[in-house]
Parts: sequence; structure tokens; C-alpha cells
Amino acid sequence: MKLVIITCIFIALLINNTICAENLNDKVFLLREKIMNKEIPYSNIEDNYIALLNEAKTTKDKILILMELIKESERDTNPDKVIKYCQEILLLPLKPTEQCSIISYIGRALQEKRDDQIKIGELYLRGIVITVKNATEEEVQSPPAVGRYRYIGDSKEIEEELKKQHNEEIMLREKIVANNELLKYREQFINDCVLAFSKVKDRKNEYLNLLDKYLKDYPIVQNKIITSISER
Amino acid sequence: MHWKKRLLILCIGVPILTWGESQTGSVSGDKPDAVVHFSNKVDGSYEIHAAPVSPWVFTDNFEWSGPNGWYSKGEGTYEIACEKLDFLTYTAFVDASLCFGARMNGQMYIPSNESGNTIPWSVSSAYQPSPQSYIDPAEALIAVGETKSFRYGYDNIFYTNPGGLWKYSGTDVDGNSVQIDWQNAGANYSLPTTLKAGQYMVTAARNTQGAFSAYASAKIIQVKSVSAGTIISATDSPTDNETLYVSKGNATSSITITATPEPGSAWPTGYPTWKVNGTAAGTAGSATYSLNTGTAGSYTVSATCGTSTKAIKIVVLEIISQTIATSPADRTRKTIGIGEVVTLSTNPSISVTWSVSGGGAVSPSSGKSATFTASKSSSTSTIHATLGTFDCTLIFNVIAPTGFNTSIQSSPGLGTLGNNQIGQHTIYNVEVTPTTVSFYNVEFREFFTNTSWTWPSGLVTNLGLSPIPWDVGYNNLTYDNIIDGPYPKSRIYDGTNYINFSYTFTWKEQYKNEAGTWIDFVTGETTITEFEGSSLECRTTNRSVQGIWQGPWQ
Repeated sequence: MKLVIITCIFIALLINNTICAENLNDKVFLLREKIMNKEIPYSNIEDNYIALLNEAKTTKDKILILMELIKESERDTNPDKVIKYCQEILLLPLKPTEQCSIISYIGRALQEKRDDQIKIGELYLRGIVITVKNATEEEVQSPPAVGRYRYIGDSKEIEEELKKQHNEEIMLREKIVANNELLKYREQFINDCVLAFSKVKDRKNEYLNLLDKYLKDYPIVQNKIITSISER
Repeated sequence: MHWKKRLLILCIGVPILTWGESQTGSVSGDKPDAVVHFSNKVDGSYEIHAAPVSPWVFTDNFEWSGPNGWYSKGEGTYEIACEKLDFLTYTAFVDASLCFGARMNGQMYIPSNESGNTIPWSVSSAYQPSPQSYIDPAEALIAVGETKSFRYGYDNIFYTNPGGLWKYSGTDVDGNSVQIDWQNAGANYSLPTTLKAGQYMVTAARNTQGAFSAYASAKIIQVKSVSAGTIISATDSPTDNETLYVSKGNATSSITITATPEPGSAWPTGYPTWKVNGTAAGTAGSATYSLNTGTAGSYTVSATCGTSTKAIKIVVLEIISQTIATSPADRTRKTIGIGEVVTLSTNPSISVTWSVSGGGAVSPSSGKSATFTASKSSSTSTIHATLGTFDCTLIFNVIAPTGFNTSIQSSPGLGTLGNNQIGQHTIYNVEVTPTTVSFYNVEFREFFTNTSWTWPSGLVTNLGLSPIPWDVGYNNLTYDNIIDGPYPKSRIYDGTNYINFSYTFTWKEQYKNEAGTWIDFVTGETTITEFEGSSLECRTTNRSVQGIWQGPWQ
């Protein structure tokens, strides 16, 4: 009888301290909620996410968890860990917007570490190149609506056509949203790059060479940065 | 007492008859000290005689003293005198009336009084009332770098403008002692404009010995500092350390800037004067200036006293916001839809630390601008732009969708009209409300209630549709594609007739909140599909918005 009770208590404790959820997404969501509600000591957050990272099978899951680790490291003002997890995530196939997000995190971490401004500026130049290469539209647009549909009938053809149209709308919306995000990142990276190089105006040759290296094919952006630096 | 006239002085070779005044002081054992009074302020010469009252007799010698110009007429004369010499303008001697403080003294005795000793006697002069020297003004507050004229004057003398020698001494605000020796400057004098601010004493006198000296206190005032809130500036070129940040207020809000003088606490008349960004402002002579904080900007407020200026920088900061969504037209609105993205910037443009409380996220955490992404749940979010202890805030009211409007956009139908198939295709416009904000960044879905019905033909339809995700643009608009059929017309044939029939579909609308939970915001909505047996037409009524009869189709 005693053994049963002890076993029950042990199981209850185990359940209480384990992230109980079906899939990894839900587990991440639950963990995030526990962190938000301060149910998990700050020092244990990283361990909890690493445990989930070890469970992650797909690239998508790994990216999701590494992003959480990066966010938490930044919140913890730990630039070394931010950079460490960013380096890990950059080994995975990331979407352009995800790459930009990682560049933002690395840039802030390097600034926190008071790293070399030329190095930081170069990082943002890489970000700018990602945005100019991947943006398909040059203006921020309203994400297009995705319509609703409700089909009641026997025609598979009609149903498929409706689904296809719906998916196309979803894809177009995602494309525009991603493009808007890239344009936003571009503006941000240009500002950050100008800010970094403005701090080392005495090393003009170095940053001009870098601007030429990365933005030779994008003279408008290159000139915008050079003009902004000179105005500061 | 007797009068005596004398022909005295030759001036530039021309003999001048000058009248004089002579006074005798009589002394005795009972009254050994006598004071004589001259009657005239103006006279050519003055003499004082000492005379013993019988039986008293002076000894031969006497001593005398007197200001510059008095002289003794010799042993046994018991007489001293002075004369006015107009051409000698630099000594007190010229002004005999100022020099009545002369005195003779000696010993006297009664002859043949063998047991008696000599006793002292004295005769001195006085003038009633006594001459009084002064400097006008006796106290002066002078703006540094500016001039102020002092006048050396006397009461009760015959020269109204007698001339004088001047000197000053004091300590400047840096603690340095300053002392300047006599300068012959006449009746009026001004301290040099190069003197630093400080506390000085000005002295004027008739000669370098300080005869008839008078004093004035002179404070040369400069602006010590200007202050506002907790910031004090002692420079005329304020930097970040001399900058006060305040949040933009309304049209009547203001902040007070106070100027402090040194030395002391009083300002020269008309000072300080005020400027804002180089333009005259405020009231000259007021120690404070009230800066309106109803307009954002960077203001350099300076207070000036003479050549001294101190300035403080006041940055009236506001957070400017602009929604990413171009619709609704007011992009500066502070009521926004859940998930809306707003760009933030500081005005004037300065780098701050950004944060948000009450929900949502702001990124990056520092810089002149940032992006605020509202929570996906209703909330009141406060944006903080902080600089040290200064916190400029902006509040957003984040609201969730509450419903939507429906209207018919078109009725495309199901192909070519005929007599075989029944059904309908209607497209509805959908506008999420409230339309005062944008919900373009919200995930929506339509959630259907499973249902089933039996057709007149006896066929049973069991329907279980998966939720359909949908989104809106900046303008909150999307559309709803509702298709029923085409069905063979036999579905509404009950074996005898084509009969009227309808089925009803119940659904609700949901959005995903910050926690990832789907929240109902429209519930209990129905779509009714009706078939008319006689015409084989079909129509839908979605949320009470009735479509047109359509069909039948080939």
C-alpha cells in the first residue's frame, strides 16, 4: 500500500514537472506560457528548451525551439548565448525573413558586446543583400484578403477548384507579408548599418570597400547609405 | 572774537582781494577746551586763535594738528590758518571748508600762583553741520560687462562737484582678490567693464590719504546657472548633461526655467533677459521663464545678464505613431486592432530605449524608431520611450473584432441555365467590424457546426466541414464564396412532385488570440439554402442577407 502511494506521488510530481503535450508545437506553447506566468525559474528556462530541442525531429521544430532560445537569451541580456544559438540556427535552412530576424539578433548582441562597428556594419550589409535579393515588390502593400468559402455539393471538381483558389490566396498573402517584412528589415538594416559606420568615420576606406563589396550591384541603396553616413 | 581782513593771494600775477574768517577760542581753568565754529561755507581763508582768559596765561609753546593745508603762524602766536588755493585742484587744501578739523593745544597757568601747576588747554574747529561725503549710488547691482556711473558728492559744502580720487577692491566669483589703487577720475567714476562678476567696494576721497572718503558697494552680477526640474546648467553651450527631457503636454502645459544670479540673489534692473533658440522671449527682469510644452521640439533656453549667458536644453518629446495599415485613413489613431503593427518614432528624433507594458511587443529595444506589434488580445498597451529616468509614454487601446457586415457582391451562378441541375453560387462581401481599426494581422476562421438533413428524395446528407481560415486586408474586407450544388433536381422530388425544400447551416467566426486560442466573435449565424419545387430555383440567405433565385442549370 505504501509503495503504491509513493509511486502515485512520484508519478504526480513527474506529470507536474513535465511539459505534457502531444506535439512539440504545443509543448513550446505550454512552456512559453509557463515562462510568462513565471511558473518556471529563470535559470531553468534554457534547460527546458534544450530538452525540447533534443526531442525535435524536424528542421521546422528545431528552428522553432532555437528561436525561443535566442529570444530568451536576449531577454536575459546574454549576448554570447544569443550569438551561439544564432550560429546554430544559421546552419539550418531558413527563409529570408528568418535569416533577417537572426541578423537582427546577432547585430544587437554584437552592439551589446561593444564589438567592432565595422564588423557590425558588415553584418547588416549582409542583411541588406538578403532583402534586396529576395524582395519582389519595392512597396509595402496591404496583405491581400483570403476569402472564405463554403461548398456543399457533390462536385469534387468544384471543391478542388475552391480549395486551390483558397490556397493560392493564402500563398499570395504569405508572399506579400514576407515581402513587407523584408522591406521593413531592409530599412532597419540600412539604419543600423549607417549607425555603425557613422561611429567609425575615421575608417572610411574600410567601410567604403565593404559597401562596394556587398552593394556594388545596388547603387541606389549604396548611395543612400553613404549619404546618410555623411549627414550624421 | 574779532574780524580781520587780509590781502592775500596773487594768482597768475593778478592780485585778488580775498575775505577771510577768523575765530578765537578762549580757554580758562574752568573751560580749558574750546570749540570754534566758522560761519561761512565759502571763504578765502580761515584762522583759529587761542586766547587765555585772565588770569590764565599760555606757556610759549603750543602744538597743533590739522588736515592737509593748515599751518602754524609760529611760536607764541597761538594761531593756525589755511587758505583756499583754487589752482591746486588735487588736494583737500583747496577746499578749506572741508578742513575744519584743526586743533591747537598747549599748557596754561596762573602767574604768581606758586603752588599751581600748568594745565592743558585746547582749541579746535568745527563746522555745523559737518561735511558729509557720499557716493551715489551707495549700492549698485551691475550686469557683468556693463558700466555704471558712480558720483562722489558732499553734503554741506560749497563745492557741489569737488572732484575726487577713486579706488576699488573686492573678490570676484572665482575667489580672486582684486585691488586697484587711487585713480584721479573726477566726480564720476565707472568700474572697468572687464571686471569679473564679484563683490566690490568702491572708495572715493579727496586725496590719496583718503580725506573725506566715501564708500559704495558694487555687485557685478552674472548668471550663475539656469535650472529646470532636476537639471542645472552652468554653461552657455548645454550638452546632454544639461538637457531636461519632458513629455509633450497640451497647449497650456509648461515648464519653469529659473535663472540664478551670482554673487547674491538679486538681479540688476532689467535682467535676466531670456531667449529661446536665439529669439528673445519672456519678460526681461523675471528670474523665471515658462516654456510651453505643448509643441514637441528641442529648445535651448538662455538667460543673459550683461555679457554672461547660461543656457539649458529642454527637449519636449513625443512619440509619433503611424499604423502600417493605410486604411482606415487616420494612421495616427491610438485605437488599433489586435495584431496591428505601428511604427514609432521620437519627435524630436533622438535615440531612446523602447519597451511596452500591457501587451504586445516592440522592436528594436533602442533607437530613434521602433515597431510596435499589438497583442493579439484586447489590451491597453503603453509604449515607453525612456532616457535614463525620463519616460515618455504613448497609450494604445487594442481592440478585438466584434462582428462583420455582409452584403451581396455577385451571383455567378453554376454555369448555363437549363432544367437538370439545381443549386446556387453567391459571393458575399464581408467587412470585419469595427472598421475604425484594421484587423489585417489577425488570423480568422469560420467554424461550422456539423449538420445533416434528409432530402425530399430520401437521401441523407451528413455534413462535417473543416474550419476555413480567412484573412482580411488593411480595409478589413474579404469575401465569402457560398456554393450549393449543383445537385440533380431529383433531390427535391418526393416521388410525386418537385417540392420546396431548405437546409440550414450554422456557423461561427473566430479569431486567434495572443495565447493561440480561437475566440468566438460571431456566433449562432445561419445560412439557409432554399429550393423552390415549382421553378427549381435555389437561393441562399446568409446572415439574413438574401441572395437571388438562381437556376435551374443544364
